[in-house]
Amino acid sequence: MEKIATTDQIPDQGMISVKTSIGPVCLVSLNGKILAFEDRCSHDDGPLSNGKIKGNCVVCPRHAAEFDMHTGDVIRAPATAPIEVFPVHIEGNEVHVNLD
Amino acid sequence: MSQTATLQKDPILEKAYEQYRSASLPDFESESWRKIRLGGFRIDEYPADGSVLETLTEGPVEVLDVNEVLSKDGELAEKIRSRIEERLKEADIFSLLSISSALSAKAVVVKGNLDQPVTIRHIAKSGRRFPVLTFLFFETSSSGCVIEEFRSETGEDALFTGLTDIYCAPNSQANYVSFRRPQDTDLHFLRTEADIQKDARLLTSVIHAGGQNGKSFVRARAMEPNAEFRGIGFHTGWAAQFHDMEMEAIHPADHTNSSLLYKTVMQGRSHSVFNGNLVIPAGVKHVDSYQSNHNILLSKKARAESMPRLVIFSEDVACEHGATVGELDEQALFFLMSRGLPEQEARKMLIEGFMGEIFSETPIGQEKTEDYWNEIHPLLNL
Repeated sequence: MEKIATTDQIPDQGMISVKTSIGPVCLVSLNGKILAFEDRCSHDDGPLSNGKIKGNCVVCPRHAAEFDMHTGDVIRAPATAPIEVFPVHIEGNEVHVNLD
Repeated sequence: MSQTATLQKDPILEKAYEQYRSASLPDFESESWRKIRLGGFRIDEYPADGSVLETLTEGPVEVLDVNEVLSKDGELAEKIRSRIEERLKEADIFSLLSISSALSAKAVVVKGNLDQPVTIRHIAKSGRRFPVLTFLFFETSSSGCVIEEFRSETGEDALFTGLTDIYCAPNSQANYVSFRRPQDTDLHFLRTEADIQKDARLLTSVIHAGGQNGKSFVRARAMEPNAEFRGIGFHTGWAAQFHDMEMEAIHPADHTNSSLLYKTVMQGRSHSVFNGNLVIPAGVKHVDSYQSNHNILLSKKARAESMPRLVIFSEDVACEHGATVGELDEQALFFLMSRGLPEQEARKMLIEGFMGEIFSETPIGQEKTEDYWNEIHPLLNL
């Protein structure tokens, strides 16, 4: 587990991008729960943190591919491969993410 | 933007420095730069102060210091100024940094036929910023090979920028080899630009391993009939490294040829991008060009992308491209194992054969080839 942010940095129903040892990771506060996934669309490398939240999905700003933020699964083309999601653990106000 | 004053006095370098000071980072939404993720990157986070770069040279011809050449004027100085002027027309900020504030600026003039390579070895010893500038002139009917090495052993995050400009006069046979071994935390932006004149041939070979994040360009213009360009390269990355290689062959003249071959072996979470650009303007005839890019992924999380871009405005040309991305060929693996090789040995043999194609075509002699092979091979963890 790696501490990569604090909870107050993540706006409610919003996203931030955090630079980590494995590249940029997107943190989302969704209905009081914090989710983490790679900040890179599997289709064309678009920065997902610049996209939109649509229900449980994130929409890539580049070609509108959609991914489930809980599982990383592709919901809408043109992406065909899932994105990587990471387990999140909150300690106090620290956001720890398992990047292995 | 760095405010570090440049020490060079030549007007062309002052012009480059002014251009650098007013330049901004590349548009990361542009086609060339959109894959690289440099969020929050600022050049002035990599200060020039205290940077020590050692440049060692060896070979059959003298490696000249560009500042000395410019201070004495003369024909070579004029040629260098002319080449810089040309580069300034469309230089990105990293190239401008290399031109205006190079810690090492060297020039090589190849006359006649060199029987052994000229080697220029740049070794970053300490500090964080290492701009390098190199000019290679292959004179009419000359032949030879110039090797340029970029190495970093500073122990801290460093920024390596380089511009190597190659001019191949008519009927020359030029070989340029760029061997790059940055530290795992380094950023690297290295560019090679070349002009190839009538009946001349240029081969460039880029062997690159490591570096945290970077973009390379190899761009050659076949300026006159029967000019030929061959661009080859090998890259291996590991951990979360990213490298984007952009090779471009431009054919402004009839009866010109080009071919590109770029191979990668990607490990861990590393990510490789290959942009293969071919440009043939309208009205140009009898161009023959092909490009291929092959990538082996040794890990489920490694990525490789191949993006051929063929911009062809002419009809009487023959152009091909091909690319593969995947794991090792299962059939080839099965074949070797059926001959009694253990799986590990069979895998190793296939990968060695894959990268061997680039090494064997790199014209640096057996001893040097073995040195580079022995340096790269352990990094593959075979």
